[in-house]
Amino acid sequence: MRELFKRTWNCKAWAGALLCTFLMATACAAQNGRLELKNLDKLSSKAADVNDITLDGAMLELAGNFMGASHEPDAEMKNVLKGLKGIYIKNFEFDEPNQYSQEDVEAIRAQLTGPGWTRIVESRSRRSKEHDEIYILKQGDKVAGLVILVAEPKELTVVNIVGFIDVNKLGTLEGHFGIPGDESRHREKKQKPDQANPPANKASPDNKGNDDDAEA
Amino acid sequence: MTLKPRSKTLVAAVTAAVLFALWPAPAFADDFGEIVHHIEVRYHAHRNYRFLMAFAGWSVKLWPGIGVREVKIAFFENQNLFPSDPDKDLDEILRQTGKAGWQQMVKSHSRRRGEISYVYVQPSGKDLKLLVVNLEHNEAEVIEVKIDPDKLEKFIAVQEHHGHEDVM
Repeated sequence: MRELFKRTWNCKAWAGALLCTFLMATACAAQNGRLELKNLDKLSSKAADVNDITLDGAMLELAGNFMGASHEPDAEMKNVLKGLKGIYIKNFEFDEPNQYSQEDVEAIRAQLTGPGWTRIVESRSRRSKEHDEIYILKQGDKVAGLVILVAEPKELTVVNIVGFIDVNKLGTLEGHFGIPGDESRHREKKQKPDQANPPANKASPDNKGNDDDAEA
Repeated sequence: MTLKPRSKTLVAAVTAAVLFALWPAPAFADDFGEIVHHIEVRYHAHRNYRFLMAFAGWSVKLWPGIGVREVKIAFFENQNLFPSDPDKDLDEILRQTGKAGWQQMVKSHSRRRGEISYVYVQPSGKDLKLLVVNLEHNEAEVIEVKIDPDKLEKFIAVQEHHGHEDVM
């Protein structure tokens, strides 16, 4: 009996150690601003639409090169891209609600509890059951990473931007590189009449105060 | 009109050289060939405009100033492809391409629209290679292009400049 207890205890200790190692590894990975999102890959088989965008290194440089220095909006975007190391987007749309679990989302949130990460926006809507969060990774006075997590009953989106970001200029990326812009947002709302709230009530980082439950 | 034996040899040599230059890349010659071969076999599809695309690929080499060094294009039009659930074999081929240095940039799969799209990128010295694979219900495209970003940027800037001049 004593032997059995000892063995069980050993197993638990090993499992605990492994779990700690895993959590530490994922937390460390998130310290450079990039999230480990492989746990979401299994959702591809359940989702009706899957979009997975990875823009880093050479592609970001190339995109920056194509932004004309003479054209003002392009020049501003070029400045924003200069500090970036990567843009990673995963988006899953489902035909039925609750196709992803809370554990899937918690695995992402767990990486955002490490030092440096701060949640700057949280917005929940009881009507549309939508939960939006924005996190930033601060290094000194600078923002070195940003995560936008949008969890809806039929949709899950994670946008992960790595590198030094001027948050004030972040709006220039809207509508580029797969990052939703104003137009696509309006289109989405038109396509989802069942979930549509009056525009004034819709949760968004810019409009968080109007939702059912929001904090910044 | 009869040709002299020497002229006949010359004509045959030129024809052979042109055919050799225009002959589409064989399957499995590279990642592009492997993907095209997979679409042909899996979906019983046939490439359209084969020689025209080969000609386009050959002709871009004549204009190095535009910054496009190489183009390989395969079009499959008006065919019953219907890529349903994720095409695991294609996924596997594309996963293997990663080992050859290709880096996945976009992967998009829509069951609603029956569409699968991939964009892969590979830095090659100061050039950049892009591989685009798109499958829809009735058509598919596989495009591999090697570009010189600096030259392409300059070419686009010049075109934009001309465009502005035309407007003014």
